[in-house]
Amino acid sequence: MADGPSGAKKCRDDDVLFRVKSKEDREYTLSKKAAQLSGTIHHYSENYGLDNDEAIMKMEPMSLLEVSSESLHHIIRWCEQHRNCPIWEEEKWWQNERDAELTKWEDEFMAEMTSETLYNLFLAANFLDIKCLLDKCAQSVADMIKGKSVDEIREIWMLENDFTPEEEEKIKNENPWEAILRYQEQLEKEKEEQASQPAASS
Amino acid sequence: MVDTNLEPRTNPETVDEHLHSSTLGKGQILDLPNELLTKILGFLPENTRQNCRLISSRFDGVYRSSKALRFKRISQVEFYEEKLVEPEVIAELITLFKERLLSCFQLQITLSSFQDWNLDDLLAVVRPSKLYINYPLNEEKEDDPEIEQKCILHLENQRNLKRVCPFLVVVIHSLLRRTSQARVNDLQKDTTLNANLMSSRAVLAPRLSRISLYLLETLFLFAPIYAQNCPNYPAYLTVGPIEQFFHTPGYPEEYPDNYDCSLSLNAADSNARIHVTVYDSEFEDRLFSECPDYMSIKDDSQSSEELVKWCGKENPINVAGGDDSMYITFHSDVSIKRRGVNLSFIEFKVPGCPPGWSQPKNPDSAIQCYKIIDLTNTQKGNPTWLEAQRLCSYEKGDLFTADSDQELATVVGLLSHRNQVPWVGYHDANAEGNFQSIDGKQKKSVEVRENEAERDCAVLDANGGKDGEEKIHLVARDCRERHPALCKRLYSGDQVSHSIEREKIRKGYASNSSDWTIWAIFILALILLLLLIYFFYKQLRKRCCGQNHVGPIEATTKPINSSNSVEVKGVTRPDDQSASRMTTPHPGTSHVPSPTIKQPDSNLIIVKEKTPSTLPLPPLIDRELPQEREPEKARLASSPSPREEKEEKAPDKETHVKINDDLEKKAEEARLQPRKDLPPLPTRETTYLSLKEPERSFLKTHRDGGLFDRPKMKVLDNVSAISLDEFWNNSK
Repeated sequence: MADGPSGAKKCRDDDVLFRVKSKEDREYTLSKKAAQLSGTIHHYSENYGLDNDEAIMKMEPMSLLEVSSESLHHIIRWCEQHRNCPIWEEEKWWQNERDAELTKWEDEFMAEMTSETLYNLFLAANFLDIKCLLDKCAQSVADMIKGKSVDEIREIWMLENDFTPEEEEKIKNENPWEAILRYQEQLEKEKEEQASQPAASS
Repeated sequence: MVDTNLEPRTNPETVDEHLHSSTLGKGQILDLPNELLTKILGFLPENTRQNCRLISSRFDGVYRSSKALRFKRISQVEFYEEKLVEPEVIAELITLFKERLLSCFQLQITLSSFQDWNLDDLLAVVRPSKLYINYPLNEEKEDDPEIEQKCILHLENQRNLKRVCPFLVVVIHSLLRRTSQARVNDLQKDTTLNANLMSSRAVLAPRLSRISLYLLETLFLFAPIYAQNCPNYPAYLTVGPIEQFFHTPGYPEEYPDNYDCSLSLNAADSNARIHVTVYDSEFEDRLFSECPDYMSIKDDSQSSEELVKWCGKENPINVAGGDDSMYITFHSDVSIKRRGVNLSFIEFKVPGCPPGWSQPKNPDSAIQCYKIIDLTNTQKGNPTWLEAQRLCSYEKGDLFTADSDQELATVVGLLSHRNQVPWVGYHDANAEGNFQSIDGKQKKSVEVRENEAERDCAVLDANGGKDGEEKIHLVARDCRERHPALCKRLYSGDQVSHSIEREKIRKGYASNSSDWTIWAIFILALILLLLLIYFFYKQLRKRCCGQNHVGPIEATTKPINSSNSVEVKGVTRPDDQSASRMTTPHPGTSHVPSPTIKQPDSNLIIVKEKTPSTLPLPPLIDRELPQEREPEKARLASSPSPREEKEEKAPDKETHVKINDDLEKKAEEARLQPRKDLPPLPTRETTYLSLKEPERSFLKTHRDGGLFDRPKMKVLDNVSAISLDEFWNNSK
């Protein structure tokens, strides 16, 4: 079972397959169950009437213009591995229980990723709206900087400091609650403006 | 179908195994959409998340928005139960609240289950003044008594909840969401129940009122003390019917320097007033009339007039606000720290009496509230009359004045069992013997016993008088005496205490005692003035006759010289000074007072002045010679010296021409001897040989020290006695 893809391969023949095309116009297939993990594909299938196996068998390949072949390959691996999982609750990620074997597989899977592939995978997962993968990716990225200092974080993410010293000092000293509440007010104002603008234009 | 999807795209051997320590590549992270960044931040503990704010402006914004999502309103914080279960999240929350929030926040918690859910740890730190607990209910079975029972059990198990929360809002989540029209009627029915609860300040979600009516009673009635911390930015706190405590940071240790904190207290009910009790207070002492560190209480808001401000060891005991809000400020400066303050606040209804005041049996007919402030057994001790009035006025009351005999009787009923003689609101500061009430309502004078001129204030004595006499009466006392205070305020709460003319009261007893105090001050001032004049006069005298005092100082500084000069003078002087001067060498045998030494000195000068051409020269050379050529002393002694020749040549030869050579030599040696003393010389001649060795060394040490001392006089005695006797003999 540790070798996920081969395990996935075996059961593919019995399944109804979704056909997807990558950015590079390369065709991939994934099982119906695995495809359901992706919010985007799920949505697509609903919109195009792909609600029965026959229709799915006959479907044209769904082109995913945002996803590279490499990312798509990894995503399909992930989805096939997770196809039997219960629905992922994004807001309550801590609640989602996984068996140890799968967690181990996930960790190995993430460990394979270089930063470049991880980045692309993250974006692809976002595009395909695969919640469990998204969370896993986010966690991986967060793990990089967990408990790190500001300078360390900058180093890890290769960021430049775009604050002026004054701004930096200000952030350090300000009460985060005040900042948040001010920000909140600002957001609300923007919302109101947005709401009033269409009304004015119409 | 081409099975391409399993084609390995990455070579496992090239995969970076240490992803977690690797980089995400050239700032790519910033290209991620906002929601992904938010998601990432969501996986971070709070401290790292705050660090993220600082790495770039993008993250600052993301951090804010991710936070902003969580907090719907200023005072409302929402957390999910499931998250709180994680120890990390609890710790994060606790630090967050400890550092930033402290208290005074509403906390909304959504529970999904009752198991393993402990609010205690969190509530111990968060201390929200309003807590919302959202309980889930079975969606299908809305009226599930089991769940209601569970709710109660669960709430009861939260010990801190009882200690902390004056306001508890319990919401059954699913029910509120699905409130249907059919329910509204039920709700309105329940609101009659709520009315009862409202009076005990519980704001309840309608549905739960039935469930926890009993529970809330226990919560509110037995809610014990809990100290609120002092936040360093203005915090809003709702005051309930349960005493809430407040103390300065660090209490009972010292408060920090340069600290300001303020609380804006608001009664939950606009018909309520806030009542503050100060349990303990110690601040830096008053510096003149200013308070360097202080606590101040204002009505309403920051800009309103100060009700009271205190520092040092003095403090009001109770303060009653005149409005449904109050503003409390604590300030400390850079220096000197003390314990700070510990106080509590609670609301009370108006019309009504504040806590600690007599609660009337008939609220409908009640007009007044009374209170006796007895500090006999406390550290502070009882107040004076003025202080008593001030204590009453802090609670918007006055010292007691009886509007009717009936009132007097009821008040006496309040204290007859105690043996108290409290201050009441009568004084005769305006006109002696005419006791008037403090509020000025009673124009005519009240009968007061034992009135004397210096007794301006009245106490109420309910135990006085012999049998058959009227028991209750007012007795005049000195306003500075210390007695308990009997206060009175209007039941309606409208009364604003009367300002008393403090100056008048002060003057009252000042004028009585002024007879002697003013005189005493006047006499003291006079004595001081006389003393000053005397010293000034002395000083003046010193200045004008200063010259007299210059001499002795010189003489004492060079005693050798002077002693020498005595000798020289003995030789040279006879012509220039009177007989009175001549006596000096003789008394010199016993004691030489400073003037006698001084005089020779000045004589020397005079001599020099008088005989500028001849006399001064020889001694000068004379003195220098032995100093320069000490080895030649023998020669000097034996053969006629050049000085002798000079002297002989000098035209003015009076007495010392007659002196024979031996004498002259002796005198010369005597003159030389002290000179030699400066560079210490072991060899001594003639007269000095007679001196014993210890005496000489003693002499030496003293001469080296440049001090004038008696032993030296002995030497002189020897010298002068011989030489002068011989001189006088010879001269005769």
